[in-house]
Amino acid sequence: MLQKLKLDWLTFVVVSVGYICSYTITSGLVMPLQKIFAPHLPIVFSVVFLPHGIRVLAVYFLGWRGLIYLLPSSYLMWATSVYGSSIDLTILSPVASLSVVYVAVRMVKTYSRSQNKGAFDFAWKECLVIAAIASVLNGVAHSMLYDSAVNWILIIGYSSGDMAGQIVLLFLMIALMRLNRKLSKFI
Amino acid sequence: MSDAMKQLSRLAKLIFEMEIDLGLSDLSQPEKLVLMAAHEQSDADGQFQTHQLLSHPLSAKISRPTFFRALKQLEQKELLLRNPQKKRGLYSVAET
Repeated sequence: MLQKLKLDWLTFVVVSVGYICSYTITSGLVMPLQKIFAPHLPIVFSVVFLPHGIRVLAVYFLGWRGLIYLLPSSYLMWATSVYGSSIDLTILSPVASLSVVYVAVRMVKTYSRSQNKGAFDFAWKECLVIAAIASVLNGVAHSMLYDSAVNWILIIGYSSGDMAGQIVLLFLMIALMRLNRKLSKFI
Repeated sequence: MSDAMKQLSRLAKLIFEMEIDLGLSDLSQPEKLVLMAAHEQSDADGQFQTHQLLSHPLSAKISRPTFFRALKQLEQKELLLRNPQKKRGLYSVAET
């Protein structure tokens, strides 16, 4: 079954560890700081939501398989938020967040292929555009899930948090790669 | 190379390009241009020929001596690797 779908365990582990780590940093560091400095903001979204970056990168590189790899860790983290931290997240939240990323990736890749030499000179710029589109769609989807109507606070909150998460994640990865290069010189 | 390693290598390339493109690396301007051109011109195995870079829009405007100095510097920094068989003009981009 796994071979038929061309899924492999190592990719699953890498994606899941990335998602769980980024979610843990968000819920363990960003959210407490948000509660201190912006207590008026709803706790259903984070101002810097790092897992959005993992979602975008996973679906960007792995396509629809990225969604399958992300689903278990997404629901694991959803369960810890709902039952562990009493955050009122709807059960459809992980599916909505993953679906919008796939839609954004398809939109941008289709547009990019329609251009003669590709629309973007570097993959990281393409990723940021995907993240921006997905974050807006995620905001709209969650606004509909919670309010059944347009809730601008949720749309702006989800969109800006997801986008900030993608940018911070890429800079964190640059920092980690630089550290890795420096350390490898001593080993 | 397994699929997971291939995807990780693509991710590392994306991050590395971002680092260079945003000017966060400690490379000189000609080195950045040559390295970015090398990444763009390299094939699936990461290999490229120097003449491909000389005609690439990013590095075409650099003077020949500066181009080859930058190439040598990148080789010393182990960001570009010369072909082990010493085939003239054949390089590969290092795994980042």
